[in-house]
Amino acid sequence: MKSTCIKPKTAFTLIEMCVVMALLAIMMMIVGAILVGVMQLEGAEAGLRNRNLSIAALSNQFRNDVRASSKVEIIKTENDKGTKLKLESLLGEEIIYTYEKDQFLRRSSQGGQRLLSFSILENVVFNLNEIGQLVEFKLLEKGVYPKSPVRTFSFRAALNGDRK
Amino acid sequence: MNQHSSIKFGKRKGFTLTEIVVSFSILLTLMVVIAQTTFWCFQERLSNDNRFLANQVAINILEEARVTDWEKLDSKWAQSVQNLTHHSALPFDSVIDVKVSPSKEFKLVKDIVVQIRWTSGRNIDPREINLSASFASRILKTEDAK
Repeated sequence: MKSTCIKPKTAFTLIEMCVVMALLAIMMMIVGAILVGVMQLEGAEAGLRNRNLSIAALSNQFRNDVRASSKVEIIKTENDKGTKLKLESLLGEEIIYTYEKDQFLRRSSQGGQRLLSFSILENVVFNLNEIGQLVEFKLLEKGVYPKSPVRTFSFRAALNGDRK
Repeated sequence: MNQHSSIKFGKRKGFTLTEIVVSFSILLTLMVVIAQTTFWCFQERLSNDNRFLANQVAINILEEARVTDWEKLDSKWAQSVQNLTHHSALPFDSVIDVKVSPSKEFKLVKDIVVQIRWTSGRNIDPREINLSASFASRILKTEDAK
């Protein structure tokens, strides 16, 4: 007569459990680090997208204002720490762009005051060409990350003046 | 009792090679997918930046055309505005191509086409922009004008 011998299945040992948990922890850490990185990147991307959109809106606003104007004046503020651009439209409206103390403002004699951007700008420069009909708006934007380079944008617009 | 039933449980000492290979393959696939998505994200941003900057440069050139005398809008003027040093924000490998030609439809009208091309970026992205504008003479010329 043969005897049936069934060996009972033992549970996991403490070492096995420790090894599995350690492996799981390492995997979770790796996956978590990747996910955090991706989320940070996505946040930075969203920030950049917003910046680009606001700069595009700013350039459109500037070009529309200049195209509707017939007179322009660039005024340096005290100690050259700020810049002002004064535009006068054919209908008599006066628009002033001011960059001072990290604030870029647009004031209109009809539409009040509007903050265009804050803290993302390194500097703003206005230039006028030799014949005084092309206004350039140079914008130096701070980098998104601490060590990323300053981005430079140049927007030009022609005044609504007499031309040949 | 069945005398012939003999059940043997094998002693499992660890993962088999197949199990390890399969699990690592899954992990590797996941990591590759995440890395690829991140890379595409960067590429997309770069591509958008390039398109935006190129658009702005093309608009700037057309604005320059607006303030230039209509008579002076010719190939010489086109050559002068193609200089990349005036547009430092563009990608380093950009090429600006400006063409001035008389309009085929109207007299005293010139068509200006600004094309900006660059080579960096993915092949699937558009790597050029084209903007065109028509400029009419601002002096009225009549048949009997001297």
